[in-house]
Order: sequence, then C-alpha cells, then structure tokens
Amino acid sequence: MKFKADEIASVLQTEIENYESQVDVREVGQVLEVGDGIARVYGLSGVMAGEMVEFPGGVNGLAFNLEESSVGVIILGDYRGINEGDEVKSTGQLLSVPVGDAVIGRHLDPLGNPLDGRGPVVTSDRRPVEFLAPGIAHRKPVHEPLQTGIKAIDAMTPVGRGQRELIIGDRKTGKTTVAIDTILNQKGKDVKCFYVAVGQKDSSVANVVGVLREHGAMDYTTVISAGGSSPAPLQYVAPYAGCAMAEHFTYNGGHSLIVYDDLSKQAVAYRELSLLMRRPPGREAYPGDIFYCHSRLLERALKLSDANGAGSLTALPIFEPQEGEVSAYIPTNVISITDGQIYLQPDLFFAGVRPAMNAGISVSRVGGAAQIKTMKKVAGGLRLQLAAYRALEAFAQMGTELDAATQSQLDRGRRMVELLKQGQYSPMDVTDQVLSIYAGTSGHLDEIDVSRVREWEADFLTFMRDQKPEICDQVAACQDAEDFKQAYDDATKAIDGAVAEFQAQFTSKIEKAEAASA
Amino acid sequence: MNAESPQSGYRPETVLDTDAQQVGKLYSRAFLGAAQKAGQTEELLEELGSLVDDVLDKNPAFARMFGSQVMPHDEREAMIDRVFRDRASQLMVNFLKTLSKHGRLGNLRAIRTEAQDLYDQQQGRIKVIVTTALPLEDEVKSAIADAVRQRTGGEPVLIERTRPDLIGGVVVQIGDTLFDGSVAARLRRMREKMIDRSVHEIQSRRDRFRTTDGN
Repeated sequence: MKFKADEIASVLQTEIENYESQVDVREVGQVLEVGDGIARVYGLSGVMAGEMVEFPGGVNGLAFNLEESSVGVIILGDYRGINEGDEVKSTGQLLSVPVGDAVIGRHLDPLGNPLDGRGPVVTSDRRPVEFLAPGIAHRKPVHEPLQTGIKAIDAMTPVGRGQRELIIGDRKTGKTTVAIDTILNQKGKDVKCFYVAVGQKDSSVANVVGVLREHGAMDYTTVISAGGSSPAPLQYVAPYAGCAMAEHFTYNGGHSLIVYDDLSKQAVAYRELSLLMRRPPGREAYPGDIFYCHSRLLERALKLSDANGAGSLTALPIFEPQEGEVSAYIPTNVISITDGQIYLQPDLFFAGVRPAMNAGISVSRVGGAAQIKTMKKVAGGLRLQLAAYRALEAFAQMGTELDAATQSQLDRGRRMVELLKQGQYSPMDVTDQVLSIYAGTSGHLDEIDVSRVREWEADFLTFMRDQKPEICDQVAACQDAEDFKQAYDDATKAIDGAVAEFQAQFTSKIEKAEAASA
Repeated sequence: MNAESPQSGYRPETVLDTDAQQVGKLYSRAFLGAAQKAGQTEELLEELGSLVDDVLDKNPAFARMFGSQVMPHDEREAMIDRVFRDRASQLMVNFLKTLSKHGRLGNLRAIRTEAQDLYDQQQGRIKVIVTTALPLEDEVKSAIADAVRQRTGGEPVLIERTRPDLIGGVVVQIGDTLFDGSVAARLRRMREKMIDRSVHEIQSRRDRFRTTDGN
C-alpha cells in the first residue's frame, strides 16, 4: 500500500494549526521497585483503586493495592522497560477495552491490541473492563435455548441463553472441543461469540483460531488470548476484558456467548498476583477474595428483562481440576457459582464415548426451560434411562443371568450410548437431534447391531433430509403449533412411518455389503 | 525506557526506603512534640540537621558504627554520653538514647527529613520542586513563588532543579501533582496527537490515502 504524502501532510498540518498549548497537569509518583509484572510506586496519593496509571513508554498499569506509603500496581504489558525511579502518572480513568462490531472476527489481547496482524481496532466505543452485574430487577428467567449442537448436551443438560454452564474435566477430555462445537453451532443464529484463552499454550490458541476460521465461525467470533507466556496481570484481566466486549452486544439487545478457557489458570494467575502484592494467602495459598474474583465475573452472564432489551450473555466457563479432584477448593467454588456443569470423564473418553460426558453427575439447573418443547418431550427420560443403564451395566459384568426385561434395558442403553456419540466440529441441527433421539428412545434401533448404530443414524438423517423433508419441517413446526400435543403425535406418527420405510433400505444395504465382503 | 523517550539520559533521583520513612515519620512526630514542649523547635531541628550533615556525613565510619546493631545497647548509650553529653543539648542526647534503646539509630537520616517536612507542614510551608532547562533568574523565581502563594495559601519553599532535556518552559511539582509546562512535554503531546490522528484517518478512510497504482 502506498500513501499519498500530500493528503497525510494536510491532515498533519490541520493538527498543528489546531494544536492548543496547555499546561499538562498530572498526578505523579515514582517507581520504588518493579518485577514479576508488578510495581510498587511511591506518591500517586490521589489514585483510586482500579485506576489506570501510565508508565514511561506508554505501558499501562492498574492500581491494585493502596497502602499507607506506597501503591501496588499491576503492569499490563511489558514490564522489562520500566526502571526504579521512573515517573508514573495517574490517568483518572478505569481500564477499558474497545467494543462493538470492530472487534468481531479479530484475535486480540486482553487490552484490545491486535494479535492477528490486521492493524488496530478502529472504534471509539469502549467499555470498562470491570462492571458490576445488574441486580434482579433488570433480569428475567432464562427461557430460550442456546443450542450447542451436541446431542448429549442439548438432550440431557440443555444450556439456555443467559445461563452459566461449567465444563469441567481432566486434561485431554475434550473440554475445549465442546466449547468450540458450541461456537460453530451458533452460525446464522445471531449470537456473537467470544473465546477467552487464559494461560493456554499459544499453539492451542492458534489451533482454535484455525478451526474457527476454517468453519467460517470467525465471522461472528472474537478471540481474546493471554497465553501462558503473558504476564500474570494480563491473564487475570483477560476474562473481564472478554466479558466487557460480549456485554456490549448484550446491553444493545443482542445475544452473546462467552467461553472462558480456562478459569483454573486465571485463579492461578490471580494467586500469583496476590502473593506478589503480599496479600495474605488463604486456603491452597489462594487469596481471600478468590471466590469474588470468579463470582463477579460469572454473575455478569445474564438474561436481561424485556424492558432492558432482552439481550443475553451466556457463559461457558471451562475448568480443569487436578487429577479429577472436583472437591478441591476452587472447583467447588466455581461449581457453586454456575447453573450446572458438564462433567467430562477420562475413562469415558478413552472408551470412545465422545463427548465424554458423564450423564449421571452432569446437570443443568435451568433444565427444560432451556429446551424446545419437542426436545423436552423426546429426551425427557433419557438422563434417568442412561443412569439406570450405567448401574445395570456394572451389575451385568458380574456375569449373572439376566431376565428379558433387564436384558432389553441393557441393549437399549448400549444403543443410546452409541447414538449419543458425536464427532468433533460437527454440531447437529436441533431437528436432526430430535429425529435421532426419537429413533433411539422409541426402540427403532433395537434390532440394529450396536456397531452399526452410527452408520444407521447418518444414513437415516440423510434419508430424512433428502426424501422426507416435509417430515423434518413438520417436526420443526411442532414448537410453534397451537396444540403441541396433537402436533407432536402427528409428527411422531410420520417419523414412525418414515423409519419403517428406511429400515427396509438399510437392511438391504447391509445385506448387499455383507454379500460383497463374503 | 525506550530511546525515543524525551526523558532518555535523565535519571530521576531514586526514592527512599519507605519502611525507613514510616519509622522516620513516627519518631519525627515524637521528636517535634518534645521539642515544641521545650519551646526550642527551631534550635533542635537545626541541631538534628547538623548532627546528620556535620557529624554523620563527615565521619562515615562513625555513622556506620552508630547505626549498627552490633554494639550492645549499654555500650552504645555510654558512647552517646561520652561523645555528645557536653556537645549537644540534653533533649538531643535523650532522643538519641531512646533511638538507641529501640535500635533505630540507623534511621536518623529519615527522621531528620521527615521532621523537617512535618515542621514545614505545620508552618504552612509547601515544598515546590521547580525544574527548568536553565538555572532560574530571581524574577522568575519570585513570580513562581507568588503564583503558588496565591493558589495554595501557603508559603512556598522552592527547590530548584535543572534538566536540559526539558528544552524550555517550566515543570512545577507540588506534592504529587505535576504541572508540566515544558516544551518537551508539549512536543511529546503533539507527537502523540499527530500519530493518533494519522492512524485514525488512515484506518477510517483507507482509500483516501491509497494510490491506485499498485503496491
């Protein structure tokens, strides 16, 4: 790109002509000591808690600890250029980040600086990073679903718009994948997505951005990252910064989804900061306000009342406990703050059940309110059925002789587990989910070999879409029907008919394949 | 600090130890209280100043021993008696003994600075640090003093500093508030503003600055 020199010169000339000389009045202090991302500053007697201060070279800091003789400042940026004795000036402003359409599709750091090499974020809209969540008068109960596109979750632990659903599980159990699938599924649903990476490997973040871009999800997504190599202050601030960007859309009547990946790393960063600031350590050396650190963040997720524009902010915090220890300090905190959790287990993951969700201990406290009626009807007893299956399965391993009823329950359970498996980055439409789960729960799969269940499902959905689109439409229309019960009964009858037709096709296909291989 | 900074080459004075300063504040309050009770504030302050300037600064070996905790309190007390009994006022000797008892003789310098500051404050005197590129002329000095007097109602005590990299103008610091009227600051602000403005113009109307004839 070439610049027109005369154009720029004219801009600069007007600047100089209009420049008014003023005395620069500022409150100053001097750096006493600096290191590990924090500085102690002497002076700044009028600085407020949480106020931004500026170091030489344009590095910003946040007044964190106000003490009798000095101010503890966390440095948001490169602290290596700051020296003892440097002048620090207060700015009289709180930390804020750029917001609005300009941040969509970008990969930013927690201060809103670009990390994607596409130049600065051009917007004058800013929003303070710390924002007190509105009270109950401004909210209304969560009632619309936020489809994750994952059968197991949408059927058993549905997430509503404005809900906070924790994704918890050991390392390598597919936590991020669940979140990414959810973001991918928001395509065309008018939900702005924000993925906040805290303390992650930069390679993982690059991978996530790659996947989002590849699936066209970057058109409505912003990635905010403070990687493992970022100083602790940036890791601590990142979730609040992401939340501020998401809130902009919420308070303008839109819907947004934010993923915090992950809060255990943020807790560690906050612990580091607090210890460096010499705040007294509490349990597991976390500071006393670690609960507030998470609760004030997650309380910002909400469904606004109609008078306030009915926007929503859904939060999917991710948490990685150590060695599956969910009863440790921080996990119990976060579990108690959120409206439910999706618990991912390594043994299920390695047994090939992916997403490796443990249906027994995963819950959604919003429940059926966050499901469409059809799904609620179809998947009503699924969670209990699966839990009963798990109990029976353990029992059956003892090799006892089983009665026919128990055996059929086991067979049904095995097929349902198989049916709820889903590949990564392939979120499903809610109508497809309803068709699949209906086929499973109503026993249409009982005659199919367990190893062929997924093949059956894929073929069945293709069949429905290609040959029976009117039934798909009928199922989708149930939600808005005046007499839901009647519409649902009609739709299921239609599905039953279609399944019977498909069953014949599938059987002949299998027979042909077997004949060919023989 | 990066090389572009207008302040490069200039190193501000390093700040004192805040812990010592806290201790100094506490003892200076006690010292001033005692001195005022005796009605000899000015004299005692001067004596304390002279102790630091004329004794400790000129005899570093003595200052080190004086401030160290190696010598037991009894011996230190005897030494204070031997050295200062006839050469200092009784109140000063008592004060030194009290400091010795609490092991705070090493904080004498901080106590002196704090005592001076506290006394100045009590007298309504305000410390004003005036930094200029060239040494100040007397008329300018009195003009600044007048201005401060009018604004704050206190009696200014000017502390002058010169910093050639300010280029021109004057920087006045009262307490933690800095009034920066230097040419360097104005140039810096103008530079920032022009960069901001140019970036804004370029980003908001990219086409305007781009020529069509290739990259």
